[in-house]
Amino acid sequence: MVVSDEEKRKEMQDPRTKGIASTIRVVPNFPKPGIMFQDITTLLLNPPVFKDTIDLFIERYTGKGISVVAGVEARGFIFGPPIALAIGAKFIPLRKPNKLPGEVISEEYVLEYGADCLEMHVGAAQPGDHALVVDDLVATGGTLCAAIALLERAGAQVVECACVIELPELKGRERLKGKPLYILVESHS
Amino acid sequence: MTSSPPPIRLLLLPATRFCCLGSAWGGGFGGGARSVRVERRGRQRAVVMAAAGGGDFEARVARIASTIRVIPDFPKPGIMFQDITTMLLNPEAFRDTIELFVERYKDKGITVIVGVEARGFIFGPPIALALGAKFVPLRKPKKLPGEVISEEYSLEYGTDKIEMHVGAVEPNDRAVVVDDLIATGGTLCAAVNLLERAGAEVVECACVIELPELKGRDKLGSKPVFVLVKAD
Repeated sequence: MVVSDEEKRKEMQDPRTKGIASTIRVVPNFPKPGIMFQDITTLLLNPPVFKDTIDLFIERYTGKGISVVAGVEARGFIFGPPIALAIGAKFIPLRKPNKLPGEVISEEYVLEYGADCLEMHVGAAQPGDHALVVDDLVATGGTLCAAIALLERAGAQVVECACVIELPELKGRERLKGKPLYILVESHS
Repeated sequence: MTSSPPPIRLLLLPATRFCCLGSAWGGGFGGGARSVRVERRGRQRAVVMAAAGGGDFEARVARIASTIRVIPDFPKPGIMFQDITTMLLNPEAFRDTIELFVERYKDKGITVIVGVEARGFIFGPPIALALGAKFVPLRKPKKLPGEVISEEYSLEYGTDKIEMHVGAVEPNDRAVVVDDLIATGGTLCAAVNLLERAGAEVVECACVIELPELKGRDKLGSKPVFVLVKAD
């Protein structure tokens, strides 16, 4: 997917991102001491801002040939489906182990705080699919990396990863197997 | 996983069972409701409740029902699991699902859509966005940061607890609770309790699928439940 330099400049300066950043609540010491948790639930309580968030993604991805939006459980389930619906793409939930019924493929990954495994239904993504991976936040990039792996194993091409928030100091951007990352808000500690 | 869709035979049955669809408002759903039985995938029949005179409604619900996959013996032997992920792979069916809920709730002064983790997170937000309502996630324990209130409940298979953020809903909020499926009604009942404890009015519970034999509606008592597809 090609985005011109001018498009990139306009997106980064989009005034809507200020409102988005202002509605995200930081909760200290969650889920454990020392972590400043970026809470998007307060964004979801502000309908115009939630709409702006989704609109920014829709504007970027409409007409770009995206056939799949894959959302990472559980907060990726909040942002992914509205994007999928607007651009006419399939929505694929990527889930923790033993949640998806039927045949799945699994990929292990390391979290910012622990380790886990992500699963996708066999047959959900197919060769020829152009996929977007969506989550609320990118930290170390481990979860997104596992999501990319699952989609690629199914033969799909991952076009980009899209998150509301990035924690740039954790360098997740570098761990996405060369895939581009699009975010709306950066959070620095 | 997907081959060509099975043929759908629609049989019109006499309205022996009257479904309380929209009876509180009457708009579009008042008068007689017809039952339409849909043959699905040779395994299970779904009864689709349709509004009188709503041809387009029936067609859309029949298409939605045909995209739902039944997985036997998941998560344990004897359970026929209603898998909505196949519907999410069909953009038209997914869009129809959301539109049917949005059509029902627009102009009803709904200020909050509440979604139960995790599949309620898939259906709730698009509805909330279309209505201009807040979206409030109800989550399993210890997932929500900050101050929460909790409610315990019995599942169809086990027990659990759900939590909601303090301050997410307020007195005078008019809420609709959304989940993919209602079985025993335990989860929805817990959700209604959380919302009422916070002072909100729960207008209705909305699900894609109902398993009527598990009598979830009884558990919800006077709280109306709206569903698109009933699965025997």
